[in-house]
Amino acid sequence: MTGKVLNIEAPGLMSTIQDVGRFGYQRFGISTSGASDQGALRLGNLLLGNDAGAAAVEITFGGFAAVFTAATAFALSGGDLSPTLNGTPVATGVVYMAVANDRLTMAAPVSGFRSYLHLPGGVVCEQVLGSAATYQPAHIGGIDGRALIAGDELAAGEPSRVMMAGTTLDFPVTPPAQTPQPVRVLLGPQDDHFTARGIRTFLDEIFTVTDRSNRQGVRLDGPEVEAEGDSYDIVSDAVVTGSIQIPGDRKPIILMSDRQTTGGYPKIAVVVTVDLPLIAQAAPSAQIQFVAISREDAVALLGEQEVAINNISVVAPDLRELVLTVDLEAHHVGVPGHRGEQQASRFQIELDGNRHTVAIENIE
Amino acid sequence: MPDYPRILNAGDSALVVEFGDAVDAAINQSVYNFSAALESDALPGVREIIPTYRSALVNFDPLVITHVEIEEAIDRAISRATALDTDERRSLTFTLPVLYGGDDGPDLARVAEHNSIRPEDVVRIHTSGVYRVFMLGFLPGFPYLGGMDERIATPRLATPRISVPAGAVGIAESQTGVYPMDSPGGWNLIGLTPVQFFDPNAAPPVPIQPGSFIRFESKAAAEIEEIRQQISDGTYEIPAEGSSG
Repeated sequence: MTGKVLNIEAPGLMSTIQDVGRFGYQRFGISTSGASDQGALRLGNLLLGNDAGAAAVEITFGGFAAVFTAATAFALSGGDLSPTLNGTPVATGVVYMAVANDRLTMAAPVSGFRSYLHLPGGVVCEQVLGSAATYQPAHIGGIDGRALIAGDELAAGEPSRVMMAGTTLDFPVTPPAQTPQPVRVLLGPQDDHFTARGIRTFLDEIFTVTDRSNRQGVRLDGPEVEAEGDSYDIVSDAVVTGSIQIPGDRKPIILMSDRQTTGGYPKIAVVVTVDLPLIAQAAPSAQIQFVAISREDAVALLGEQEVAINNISVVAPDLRELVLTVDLEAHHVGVPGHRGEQQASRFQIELDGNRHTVAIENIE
Repeated sequence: MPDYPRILNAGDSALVVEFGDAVDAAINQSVYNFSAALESDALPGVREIIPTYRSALVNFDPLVITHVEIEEAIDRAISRATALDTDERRSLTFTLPVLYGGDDGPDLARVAEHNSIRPEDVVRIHTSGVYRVFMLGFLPGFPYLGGMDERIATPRLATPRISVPAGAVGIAESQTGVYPMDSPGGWNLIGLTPVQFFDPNAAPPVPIQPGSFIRFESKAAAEIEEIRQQISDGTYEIPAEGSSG
């Protein structure tokens, strides 16, 4: 089953189609872009059985509304922007079945800042330089290289397996937030541009995320980070996602997915890969405390995370006595007593006093 | 002063190899020789090598190739690159056709006036230069060019234009450059090239290689129109010759 399944009614503060990112073109000045919270993207895709880097809708802050135009499974990952389906709260990290005219909304953050809406097989759109990621400054990726607008129709891809409502992962899909949030960094490459006092300020003080933050960079407010000779310029060099540069106003900027490929400010440190999702989910006014760790520790953390993710199991819902007949040869999914070959339909089933919703979708 | 080249951490998945601390042709050439040498190793786990003015960033997966392994490979690539003879450097010089002045170069007169020369002198001086592409950045395909003649240096416009067309050739202080896509900009526009600096559907998406050279050639409106037609037919190739510059 592929085709248009979702109609955007209100994109909210900003919604874009994002995937794992666009790699191999930074030397040409083309940014990687991709999901701000790569951890959430990967877990959401795992939940739906999609390719780890498949495209999803990155929804920022809230004010989002969309109407399903066909029966489909969907799942949310990342921040909790108080999502509802037809007015009923839905959980992040759980597979749901929607049918035509179901309405998904996200009002405002309960925790985190960015939510990811995943569809079976990933959101389908034109690949530019090997990626679906929207990169607005260059007008490429997503839909015509722009953020989503009301009226955009999104298509789902080819699902890798039969979807079951209530499926979860045995792993938390929303990283726990703390105040202040410790964020681990590796000092360098230009930490030698800063005075000992500047480094101490950077590591000992608390910084606050400002509302002048976006997909290019998270701008922090806080005490001034002092550079050697009061010089905040370097000969421009390449940056990575997570590079923390200190420009002339002496306040840190953490470079994120839509960053430019090169920069002319000294970079005091780089956020370790496993902590990048914390930055992606830090809303304005969130507090951050940087903690320097060694290169060996940063790589060890990455290795441990990889092992943990590889050990995640997809947990099917406990359906007790409900028997679903699945005939993959005939592309037919049925529930005893009903035939749902032609049209999507939805049933309420009561088991042990619990009501379950079962949606039957066409599989073509 | 640190000893160059030196290797610096840029997070847990990248290293920066610095060859100096200045905008300098010899340093920049070392960066490109090194990048080519490391690239030719085609090491597993290396995602991308990004050469810039005076350093190259090596982006890799530390779970596939360890920091120690990659640092050894970097040391070997530095040795090989340093041993390269000048004649073995294979930098290309691209010649870009430009229609100078008129509607496509609305600031040509301003540049001439600022430097107390005639507009045709600006064109003569601009087309006589060979410009090193120190790096690409800022926008897809935006070339940071070096080597412009100070006789045509001109301050940026007091009020930037809201939209500058792709292909606009400009001057800002003692830099010259080409806008790869429609964007706002405050450079003095002296002409326009029909050559596309960024085409996401082409392979590679940017025709100008960083580390190469660019020269500009003044063309008449009719010739530019012909080239524009060839570009839209897909039959145009930017004239390029191999040299060390």
